Amino acid sequence: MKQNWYKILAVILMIYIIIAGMLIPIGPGIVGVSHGNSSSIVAGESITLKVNGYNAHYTSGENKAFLAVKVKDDDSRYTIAANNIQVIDDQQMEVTFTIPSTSPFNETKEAGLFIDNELDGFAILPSAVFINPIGKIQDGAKWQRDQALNLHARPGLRFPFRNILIETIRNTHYHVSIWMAMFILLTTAAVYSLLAALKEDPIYDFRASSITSIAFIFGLMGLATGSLWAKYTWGAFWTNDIKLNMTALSMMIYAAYFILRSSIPDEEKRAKVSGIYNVFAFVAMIPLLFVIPRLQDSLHPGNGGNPAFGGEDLDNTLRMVFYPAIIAWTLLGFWIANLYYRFKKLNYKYLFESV
Amino acid sequence: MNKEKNKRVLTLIMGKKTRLLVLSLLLTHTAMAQDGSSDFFTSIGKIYVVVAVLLIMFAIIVGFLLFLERKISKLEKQITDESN
Repeated sequence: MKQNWYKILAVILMIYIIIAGMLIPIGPGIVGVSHGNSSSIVAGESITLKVNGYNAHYTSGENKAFLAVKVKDDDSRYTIAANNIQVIDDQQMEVTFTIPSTSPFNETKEAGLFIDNELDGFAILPSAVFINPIGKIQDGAKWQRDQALNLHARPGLRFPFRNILIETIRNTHYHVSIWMAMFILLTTAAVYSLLAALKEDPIYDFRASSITSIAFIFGLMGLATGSLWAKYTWGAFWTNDIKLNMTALSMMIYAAYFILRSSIPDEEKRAKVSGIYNVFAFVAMIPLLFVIPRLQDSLHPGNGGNPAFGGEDLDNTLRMVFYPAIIAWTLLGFWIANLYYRFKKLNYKYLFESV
Repeated sequence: MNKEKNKRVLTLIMGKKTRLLVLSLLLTHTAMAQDGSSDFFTSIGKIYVVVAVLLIMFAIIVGFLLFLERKISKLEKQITDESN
């Protein structure tokens, strides 16, 4: 029972991440707006935007709508409130804005749409419309400068709404955490490999190779799930995204590890050679997965030059499931690796000791 | 002898099961594709993408366990053959 604690923990965490990861609702958001034929409005005209919400409750509670433009010159936000809001149903409403004829900016600017609901809190759609001021600038325009919008906070336990991602933000707990677990597994495998290369005992090689196998399987899981997700997010199963190609490269390096192992029949020699190769593969993986993706932009969510999670991208509700998910996948990996290790040990015993 | 036969039958069924699973997955996929291309996976905020991700992960883990099981059965067979 004592050595089974991590298996029990793995099962409990697995149940938790699947239930919490799938059942916590996504916060309200705006999927998109539709309006006439042109995506830009000229100052002085009015526009009616048909807002498509997600998980929203427009029919209950008071709604407010704003268009907001960020102006870099004076580093402030200009807003106008909607002059008419017509709620169609819970997920749809029509908002009418009259753009003042004078604007505090002199070039076409993108305006974000803020929808505030008493119950749901606020939702933002960046670049909802483009506003063309036709060169008219005047101070004292009807745009409100840096006005407090008095938005309602989002209540309850909810995953954040992200456009395009929507429900697939839940993949953070499955696709993203499997990569983290793979990295933890490979780190331990590299340590065991070093021991296998230095020491005579064959069990280090069994540990190292079994952990590397399951880490490789985790890598394949990451690639397969990411590929499916990419099809419905980026439009293709495989893109030239830097992270994808670098991961594929490091997976190939590890695939060569297994080929190398199978090509050496002598147990002792295999332990030494593959142990050293594994350490090299691990060292090669670090720049491929952690350095090169930081030098280029990636399509991955949360990546803008730097793939580390910023405060904006991983909020506390996601963290509540994401960190346990890393532990759960890691423990599951060690569990399966342990089974494989025990098999290897028995196989060795049978081959060399019983004869 | 009987044991061996049983095993052979078992692997045959196992093979058939996996084949059936793959076939049914393919069929459901084509069925989904017929009613409006990618509508199924993009419906309800793409929640089925997450479901499919979980299924893929489960399938790959089970696949690895089956691989392990086959190795263990082979060793088991070797040991029983030798002791006989």
